[in-house]
Amino acid sequence: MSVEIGYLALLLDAPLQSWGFQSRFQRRTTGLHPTKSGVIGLICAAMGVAKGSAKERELLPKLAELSMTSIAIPRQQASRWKGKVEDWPVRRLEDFHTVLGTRRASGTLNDDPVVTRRQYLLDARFGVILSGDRALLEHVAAALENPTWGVWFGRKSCIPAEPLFRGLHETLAEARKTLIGDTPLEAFTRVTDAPSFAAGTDSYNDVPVSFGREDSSSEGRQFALRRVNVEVGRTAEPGGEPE
Amino acid sequence: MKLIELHILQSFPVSCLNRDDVGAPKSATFGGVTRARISSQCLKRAIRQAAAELQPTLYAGRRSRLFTEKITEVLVERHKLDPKVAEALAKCAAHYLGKLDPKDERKVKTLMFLSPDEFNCLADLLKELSEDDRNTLCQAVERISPEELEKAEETDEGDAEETIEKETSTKKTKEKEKPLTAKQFTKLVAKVLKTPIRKTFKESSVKGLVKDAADIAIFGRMVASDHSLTVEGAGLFSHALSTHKADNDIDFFSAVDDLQPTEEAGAGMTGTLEFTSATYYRYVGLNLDLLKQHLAALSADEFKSVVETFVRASILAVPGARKNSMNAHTLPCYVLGLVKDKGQPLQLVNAFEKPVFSKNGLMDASITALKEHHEQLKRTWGIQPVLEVAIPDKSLDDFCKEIIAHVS
Repeated sequence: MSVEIGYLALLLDAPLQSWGFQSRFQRRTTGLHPTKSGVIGLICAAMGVAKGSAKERELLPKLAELSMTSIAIPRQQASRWKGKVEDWPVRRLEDFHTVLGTRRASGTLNDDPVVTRRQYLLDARFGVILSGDRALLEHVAAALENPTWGVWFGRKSCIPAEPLFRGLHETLAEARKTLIGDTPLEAFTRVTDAPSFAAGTDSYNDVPVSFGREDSSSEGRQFALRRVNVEVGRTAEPGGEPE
Repeated sequence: MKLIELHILQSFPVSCLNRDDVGAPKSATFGGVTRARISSQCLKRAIRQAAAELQPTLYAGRRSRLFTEKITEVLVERHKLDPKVAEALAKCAAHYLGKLDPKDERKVKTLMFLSPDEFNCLADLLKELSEDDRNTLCQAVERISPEELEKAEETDEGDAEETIEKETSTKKTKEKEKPLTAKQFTKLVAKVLKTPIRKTFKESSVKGLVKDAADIAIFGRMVASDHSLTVEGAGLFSHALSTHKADNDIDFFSAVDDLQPTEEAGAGMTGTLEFTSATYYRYVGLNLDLLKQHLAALSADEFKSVVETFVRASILAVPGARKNSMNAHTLPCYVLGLVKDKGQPLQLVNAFEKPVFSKNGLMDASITALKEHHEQLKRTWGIQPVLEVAIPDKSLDDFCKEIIAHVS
């Protein structure tokens, strides 16, 4: 109870983002919300923590313990017809990409290029609130403001289009307000860590246990389940009068 | 991080620089409308090749499956090793890094990104092996057949220790001639080479020796079999997006048959090609701190030369697709160069979230939008670049000079 709690607000804004939670081999999909593994991976890149390093082993359990809420904040446009505010829909893009010099399951060399399909989210924007040990979050905040390696959203080409760090706050309400202003939270689709299994609506396999082993980047990746509560934003127009 | 950022606006007329599975130019939706897109992978390759052309001695990394021969060569010529021993050792090193190809044992199965200085480091390391270790490797190569390699399965390093122990006990019972399975071979090689390779590459002793791997330092390297060779690239590249709404168009074409009698009407063949025409925004960043770490062996002047080459290549490189039929080789109209002492990498692409619309050409309107957005970001977030310089306000030479003055 001596641990002071802080609320770290992040804005994830980029034209292309990719939050994979079941990507394997050629098909690299994206979920519709930021994953905990993706956000913690981003923090590790900002802190310059190498995959499978001793530093990772020390830091990862602490980071995984932080509670995460993500809020989908739509990009909006003023409709040309009625001056009504409309949300741009988030779309998925499937990028076609070829890779040479791969192996078949049998171990033989594949002479043909392998097609990989990599999905991105388009027109997406998210507010993320991480809450937990304030001392740890202070380190994270410093790293995000001046990252060691860089920051990107799920894939290295997904470079932020807005400053990411939106303050380390004392209260949840304050952190929320920075991200969504005075619009009620119910207006937004959001994913929150559930306090218990019964309180959750879905489970994601996205809590990083290990990002890899020191001697082999392809092995030792391990994730644990996260019980979440997915709440869909009321379709009531955020900030607009009903017709 | 200390960071160089280039924000580039460039128009490509009729072109298809990067296509999808049906041959159409790639696209994406941004701000609710369709944009033309060139993927970061495609741009990276063009920049990497341009940099190697501009500065071949510092950008000497090559993606290849053929490095067994390179290592053998160094072992024979520099270290005067017996060619047979040299080849066996090189094969083992190659197998450890990329798995030998059963069809052609000079090749490995995956493309490896290595530079000549790194080949030398590998050769030195093999030469330094103890007589015992060398013998173990040479015998291992004799005991492995292409057929076994063909049968190779994914190696599971989980039970590596166990099998190696069995291996040594096999040896004790003097069954040295017994053929090895691919799995056993892999483990035997890993047992001997893992520690020296990891030591050399991980503990950055190699960084003091490698002077020609600027491309590996910038574009990164991922090595699945040994993480110590993985390099986090210092370069950051976004997908290029058009600043405006852009739809793909279809070019219907007919080809004339030169030998067809004149009285016969009709084309020799007809077909269609998809293309687009757009003004793009793209972002290139370079993490100077990380680059410096990777290229510790370079002198200050060499380091500056690496950075300058990269800046030039990033500005000048154009993907080569449909070079002959569409020749889209243009130069950027506007480049905003920033040097920042701290802060996060930041694209200025939101300047175009509201698509640029103009009846007087898209470039001027795009430049205005970019400048306004940048000023607004600086005001709001207190971002203070240590240098702001732009093309065409400055010539390319002066632009590079000003940036390099901030590189130390």
